[in-house]
Amino acid sequence: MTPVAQPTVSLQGVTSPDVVVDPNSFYPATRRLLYPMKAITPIAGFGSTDSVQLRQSGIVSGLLVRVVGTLVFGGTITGTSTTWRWPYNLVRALRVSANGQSNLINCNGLALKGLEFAANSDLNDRGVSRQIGAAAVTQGTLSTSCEDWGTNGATLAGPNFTIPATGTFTVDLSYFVPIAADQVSLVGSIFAQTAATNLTLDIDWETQANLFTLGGSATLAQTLSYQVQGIVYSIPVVGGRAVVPDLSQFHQISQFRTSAIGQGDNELLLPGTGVGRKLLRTLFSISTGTAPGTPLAMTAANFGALGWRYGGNDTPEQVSNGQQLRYINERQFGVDLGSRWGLAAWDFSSEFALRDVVDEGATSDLRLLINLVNAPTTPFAEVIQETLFAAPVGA
Amino acid sequence: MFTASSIYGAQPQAPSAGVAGVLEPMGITSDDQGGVQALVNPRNPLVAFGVLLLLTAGLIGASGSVRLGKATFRASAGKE
Repeated sequence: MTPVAQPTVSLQGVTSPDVVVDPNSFYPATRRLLYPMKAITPIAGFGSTDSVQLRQSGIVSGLLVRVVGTLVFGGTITGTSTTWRWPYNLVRALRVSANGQSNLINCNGLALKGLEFAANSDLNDRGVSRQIGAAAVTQGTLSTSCEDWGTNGATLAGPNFTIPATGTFTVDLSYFVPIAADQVSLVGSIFAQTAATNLTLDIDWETQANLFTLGGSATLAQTLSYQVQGIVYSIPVVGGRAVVPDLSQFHQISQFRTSAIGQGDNELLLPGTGVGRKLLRTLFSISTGTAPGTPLAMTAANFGALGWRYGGNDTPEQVSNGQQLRYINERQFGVDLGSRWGLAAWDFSSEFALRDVVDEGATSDLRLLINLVNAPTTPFAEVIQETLFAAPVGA
Repeated sequence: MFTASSIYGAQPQAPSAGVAGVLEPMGITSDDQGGVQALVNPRNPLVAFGVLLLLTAGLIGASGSVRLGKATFRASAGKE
């Protein structure tokens, strides 16, 4: 008897079972699934990397990464403090590779927090009290109430915080990794129902030296663990056919860092722009001072003209100082993005994406305009790009 | 319903390998004539051009002769 092969199609550049792209049939019939993709596991250690093989099932739209555990400070504690990388940049880089596309997502933990608040304006940090430096802060922390930046009895830790005494601090952090650009339509989701590919999540943990300054005789032991939940949609069968939503696009979040900035106007060229790409958002921050740096608050005292530019000198949007962009961001997102972490965003997709997204095919030499009012000391900029690009095309 | 095109104006750059399409020859329509038939078709601009070229160059000529016994009849046009 002649064997009959299962018909296959190509989705997102990989061979997949026979499915039909039919959003109208998919949405009413699919089932949202939430299940562990990685059980709670000790982290590999500060400065190390954990790699997770994700479950190859359904259509993956998001990941929830939780980091939980304790930090035990001992010895002679004098001179021990946290840096501005703590707590969110404990995740130095989170990378997702799927369906032949390496590093679809490649950014640090703070970028994920900023993007989460930018993409979900129903979420806010109003009234969530967190310790930043010597003060308790209730706005602009980018923290949810469930989180714990470090608690030892009545002592609450946070960034730039001097550890007052030895002891054990509990920690609980949560990151949302947006595989899909839009959690409603699922545009940008990853088709995972195929054995023809690997879905991997790599988490680089920040080094201890970048997270903490330890006094001469102080010690630190961590017992941190992480776990990963997947948000997945089932592939329903409608009228005898397996149906999927529009999976023609990949969602990419990339980040780069440069120290080539100084006082006055700076134009930071966004790498990787090209035909077929749509820019949804770009976020940036500037840090200065002793490594690993202190973020510059988004104020008129720190930032002059801010904008984005392409071609020779086309500047579609420009504000006269950092405070104005901070106002715009707070109106858009419902959080004060720039007050504590120094983040600012140009958002093209929250209000009306069809109208506002930037077609990179028509904006050559796309770049950010950042004017620094003062001469910075050992500055560096961190720039995050959120884009959509056609799935069969290389990243 | 929601698609990348309707929400973001994004279009796939290349068709999915799963989409099979029939390739159409380009630039050929079904009522075109071919071969010698097309060459002598009065609607073919090359025909008119050819006639004009021949007239201009003075190359149109016709000659003939008939011989009946000792008498010879000759006729010619367009050339000496």
